Amino acid sequence: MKKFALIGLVVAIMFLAISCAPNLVSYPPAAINPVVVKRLQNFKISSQMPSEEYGAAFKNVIENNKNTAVVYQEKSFPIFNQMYQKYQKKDFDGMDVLIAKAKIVNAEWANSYLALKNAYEKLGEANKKIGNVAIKTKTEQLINVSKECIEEMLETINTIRKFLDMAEGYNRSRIEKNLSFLTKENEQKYNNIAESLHRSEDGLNKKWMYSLEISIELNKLLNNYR
Amino acid sequence: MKNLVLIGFWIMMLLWLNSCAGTYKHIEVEYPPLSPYAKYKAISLEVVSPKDVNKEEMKSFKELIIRAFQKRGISVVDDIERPKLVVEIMELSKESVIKRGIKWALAIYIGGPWIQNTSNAVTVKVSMKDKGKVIEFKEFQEFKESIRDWEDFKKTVANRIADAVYFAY
Repeated sequence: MKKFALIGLVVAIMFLAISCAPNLVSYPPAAINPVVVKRLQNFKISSQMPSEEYGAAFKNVIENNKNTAVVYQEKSFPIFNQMYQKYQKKDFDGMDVLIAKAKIVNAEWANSYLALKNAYEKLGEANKKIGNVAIKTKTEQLINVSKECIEEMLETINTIRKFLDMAEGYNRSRIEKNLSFLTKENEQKYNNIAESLHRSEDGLNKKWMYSLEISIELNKLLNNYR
Repeated sequence: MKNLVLIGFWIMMLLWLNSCAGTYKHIEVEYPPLSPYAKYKAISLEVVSPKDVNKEEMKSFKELIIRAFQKRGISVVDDIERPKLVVEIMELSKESVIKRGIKWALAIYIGGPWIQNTSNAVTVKVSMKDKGKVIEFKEFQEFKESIRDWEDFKKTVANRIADAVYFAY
């Protein structure tokens, strides 16, 4: 009888341990739309500019757009993709290194975001001093459209940061065999962050594409400037 | 004889469970230099805590926060003109040896995953007072950190506080 009770107890503990396993949902990371990357790479800035200050500011906007896209596409995305592939295979070896790398690259992306934001502000200042109405209006449109894009970018950067903190928490609790981290609240939060990151990446792609289209239209206007 | 086998079995189970738990390899993140356009390059810091918090632990936690800021290129200065970061400690308690002993005793006598849980706790509320405005970093209430290694626990929360400021605009 005691033996059965003992076996029952061991089985109960095993079930308890299994039921504690969190139900985490992961999504494949979204790359920046390749059309955006290609158009940015091939962007030929007009040689005709209404003022020297405006020309430098517009060039800075395009260069910083390129840089921001490169940091995400060539540095962040491959790390997130590797993390996702590992999650799918339940292969957690080296996950601590990947999380640390992703944190560094996310900080780099945040810095390039700030430089881009500053570039748009400088373009806005230069735009106030020019006389051509068509260019002035198009530039204002570009700044307004890009404002939404860079706000979405900041949202994505901060969501990634929170996501990485939670991913690190789960990774650490797995290695430490610490069940205290595996609460329903943490599981819910992780899944919410993963979902909002998935939505945020999609939204960012659409807004970036729109901003780029306006930049191309503005560049055409600048090409015809006398 | 049967009892001895039973005890042996339990000890083996516990040793097996304990040996499974590894130590998390904490990797120090090397942050890129702070952007010249970052919002906070220097801040003043105030750590507020209830009376029952261990003063030594609080001091070491404050030092960890300052170090985390330095690593991100943000200076902590004693200047009332600077934006003030207020870290309100709600809970800062390390699992006691007695509590751990009780958990081991419970695990040996009645079984169960007692030792697979920790009661270490670091709970904070973080806000920034800047030009008359108070910005609350609500993310510290969003999910509850729990780490078995006490020093790593304090360091992780300190890093998260510094990160919230580094990424704030």
